[in-house]
Amino acid sequence: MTKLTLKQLEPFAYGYMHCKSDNISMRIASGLYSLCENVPLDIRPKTCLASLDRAHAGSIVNCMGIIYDCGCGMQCKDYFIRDEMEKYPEYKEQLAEYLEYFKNKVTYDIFKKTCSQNELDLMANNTLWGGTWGGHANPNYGMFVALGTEKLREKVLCHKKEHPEAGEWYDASLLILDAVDVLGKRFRALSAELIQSDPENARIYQRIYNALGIVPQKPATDFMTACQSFALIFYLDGRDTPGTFDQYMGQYFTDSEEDNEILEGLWQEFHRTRTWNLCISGSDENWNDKTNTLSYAILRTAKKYKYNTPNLTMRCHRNTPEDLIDLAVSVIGTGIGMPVLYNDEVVCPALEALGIPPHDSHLYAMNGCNQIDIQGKSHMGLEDGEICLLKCLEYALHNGKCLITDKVCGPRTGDAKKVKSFDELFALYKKQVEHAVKTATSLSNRSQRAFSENAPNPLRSMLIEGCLEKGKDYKSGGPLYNYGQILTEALADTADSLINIKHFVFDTRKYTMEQVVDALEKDYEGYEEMYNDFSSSPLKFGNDIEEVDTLCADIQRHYFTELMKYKTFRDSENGTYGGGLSTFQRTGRYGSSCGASASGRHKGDVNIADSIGSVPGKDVHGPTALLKSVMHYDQSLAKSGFVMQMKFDKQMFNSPKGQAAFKAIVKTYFKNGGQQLTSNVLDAAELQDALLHPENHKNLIVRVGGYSDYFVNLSDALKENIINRTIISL
Amino acid sequence: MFGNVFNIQRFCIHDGPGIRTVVFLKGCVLRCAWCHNPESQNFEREIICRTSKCLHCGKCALVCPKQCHTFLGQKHQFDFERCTLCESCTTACPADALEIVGKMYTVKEVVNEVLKDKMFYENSEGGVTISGGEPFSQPQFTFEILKRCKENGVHTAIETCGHTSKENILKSAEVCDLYLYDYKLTDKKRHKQYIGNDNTCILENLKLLNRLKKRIVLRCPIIPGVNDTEDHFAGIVKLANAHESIEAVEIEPYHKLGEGKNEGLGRKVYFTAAVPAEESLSTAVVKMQKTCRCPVSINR
Repeated sequence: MTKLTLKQLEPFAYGYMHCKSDNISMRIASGLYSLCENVPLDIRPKTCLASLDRAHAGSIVNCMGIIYDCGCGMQCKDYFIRDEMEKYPEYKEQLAEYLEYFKNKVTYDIFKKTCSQNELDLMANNTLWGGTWGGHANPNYGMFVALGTEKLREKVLCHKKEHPEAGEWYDASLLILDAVDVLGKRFRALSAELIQSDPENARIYQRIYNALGIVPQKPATDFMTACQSFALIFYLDGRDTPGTFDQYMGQYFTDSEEDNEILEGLWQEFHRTRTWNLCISGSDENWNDKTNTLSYAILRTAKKYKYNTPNLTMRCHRNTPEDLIDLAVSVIGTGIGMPVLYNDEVVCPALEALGIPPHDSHLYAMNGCNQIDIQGKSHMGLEDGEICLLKCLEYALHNGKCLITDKVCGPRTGDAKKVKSFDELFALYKKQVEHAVKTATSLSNRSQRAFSENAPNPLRSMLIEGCLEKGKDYKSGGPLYNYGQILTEALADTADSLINIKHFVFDTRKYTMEQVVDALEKDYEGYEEMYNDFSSSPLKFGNDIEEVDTLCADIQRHYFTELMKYKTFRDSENGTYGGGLSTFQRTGRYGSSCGASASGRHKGDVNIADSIGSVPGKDVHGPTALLKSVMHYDQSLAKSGFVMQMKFDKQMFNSPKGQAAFKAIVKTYFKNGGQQLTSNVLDAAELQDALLHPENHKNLIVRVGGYSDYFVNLSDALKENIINRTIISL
Repeated sequence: MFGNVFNIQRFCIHDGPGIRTVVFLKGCVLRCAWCHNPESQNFEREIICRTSKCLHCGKCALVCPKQCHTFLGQKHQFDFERCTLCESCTTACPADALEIVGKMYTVKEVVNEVLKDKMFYENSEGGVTISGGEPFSQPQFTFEILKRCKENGVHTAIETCGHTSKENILKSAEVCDLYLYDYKLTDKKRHKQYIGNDNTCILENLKLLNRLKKRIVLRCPIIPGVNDTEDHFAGIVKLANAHESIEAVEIEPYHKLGEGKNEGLGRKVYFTAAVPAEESLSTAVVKMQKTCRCPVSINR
């Protein structure tokens, strides 16, 4: 392996330190320029794309110790630098200097210094968090591709004249454009070399060479130049989220064999670099459908490669073409759980209720897992924080005490053993939530300030409308829209717990509050009958039971209404906070951090509610009942993803009847206020787990030759049979 | 009015068009050996013990007044003879391994349950299917449910073996949109041998429904060793071709779901057969499709 120079080892740090200006944006831009000038390059002939990383894995931001990450701000990974010191003893002194210099510049650490001990405790035991990182974004890559650096430079200069006070901040953007040009030139030179040294792939290198003769300086002329231009800026932005890719790239795509080859190459790059969210289709403000040939090609590519990344989402509405839906259903049927379907009819009006006009609300796209942003126009704060509602209930029941650490973390809201009515108890819970919301939003606002002051983003500021115009950074309220989002966890667990207490303590009076509080503190030891009553009670969210569903919706409404009282640092006038619910794999973290709960759940049990759905396995009346429960939520309140995950037997997607039923499910859910739907195909691992823990999988329906039944009801031999079938069919 | 119901299952997509709720009534006049719902045959309540769900916690043994439950190592044994259906154990079981099959419902209760998924029927052209057991074994209850469903704009279907009186058929025709009509054996003698009656009454009723121009889907269970014969396949086509109202034939290959249930119901001797070989069944169906005037498909 060739030895790297110090500049190549830590190019960003080098540029940042050697910048002549004290302006923080200039320093960051200078770091990025140095990165583009020095980072070792590579071109993968298979993907037809110029690729930036030096280790053949991960992204540029991950292969050095000191980086500026568009999501996380300034980072300094000392373990990485120490590693480099060992490998390169000749740079030991300089690297140590870097380490010292950047030690106090890490954005997260600057934020952390503002936190009180109680706030740190609340974050440590997973009650909540706020801020800590900068979040995902949907920059207007389409504009970059369409303009090229030359015209974009003119645009920056034009706005610079309007805001002379922010001169250096504009200069930072200009320097970044220079950096992109340098990168393009270096790739072009490399492809010229490779044409000679790797004649086998000369055709591909020639194409890259030709494309980079036009872009990134000039506007893209075809799909190849558009993709090259996009790849450069996308990588430099930390290859986060392409967003409405088919919309801004569709005009260059001809559906020719060559263009499809490039698309497939890009798809492999997206997957290799763990790109976040790519969104297709959707409607304009007059509900005209925006599907194009690229939308179809993306679905076909996703079906061919069956990758689990990028997160593929599809926007649906009243005029979505039937054949696009059919194609999407066939992609879902492969078992990749994508595309995730979003409902314009709910999302757009919800965004409009915030004050976003229809011509912009219809530009929404997802980023990260499923958060909603306006492509190229907003900083919706993805994600600004998160709160676990079950933990709030724990504090309400135990007067602020955490059952895991025994520390008093929540406010002392009073002795729950003495409450005389359900309403009184509910009020205690609400007080805890109100405190958590206040804490999380306050943390988030301090984090936003830390980013604004210490990790501005001159790159995204060019590509998100409002920043250049106002002369204000992306991190400081520059974008047109600056809302905030605090996610939530364990909604259904909280409802199931409260309904059990209501039913067994206040309605049937089987138990007293003293007993319940004591049982939970002892993790039901000595209270086995209560545990049985609580866990097997049919009053569980997800079963189309009005009383539980209404309570769950009340819990959601209270939480969201509370959030909406607070404003972001980015926009203290209009930037209200909103919420979302998308648990996914985080159930482990949140479940293990909660003590025993009255839902009939033991201390630390990780089987907690999956996003807006029921506690897994507790929805025993099938998918229609589950959806009916979920329809009780006011989903128009959710400004971030309100994730509904469903699981279906693979057989369902194999027959026209099953596909039609699936489409009817989606249609009914969306007509009745559903925001999004993720459909997974049951996998063998899950069925195997159902063999061991049938109590957690009471909801799995499988098809047994002409007949559907709950998996847990089958004989052992049949269960084995179905597991084998599932393994084969995947 | 009450009826004995052993299950109401929502989101069924294989018992009639669209998304449906299927109401399974308990009790059947026939005794098909291969029945996949053996718990539906008796008219009386009974207990089902699914040992595969048993956690071996012993709670049932503690509460049972008749000492029906014993545990030998990891094997849960249940004495069906002594059981008085007191429901102590079914309430105590934390794993739903013990269940009472059959519960009395009012028409209103059933209809309320059916109407819960109305929005899904509307978007899928689905509805309600009364199945069993045999719906015509509780005729008044069936008619009343279907009548109320129709009043609420819900599409109605009956899944039947067809063994009932002419009066019942005529009455049902007023409230039922679609019949899922079983046809099990062409050979009359074998029909009597396996099912207990010959098929004269069933064929008469089919003719009647045809005359009434009701929509009919013919459903044919195929059980290896019993009716997977050329004669029977030809018989199905002949029947379908002779009745204009039959709009489709669905072949239902035998599966082993019923066998596990028989065990759980305490039946020591029960029917068992192989699952039909996919290839030979497909060949037979392709052949049928050539001569049948309506679509023939395999319900997998």
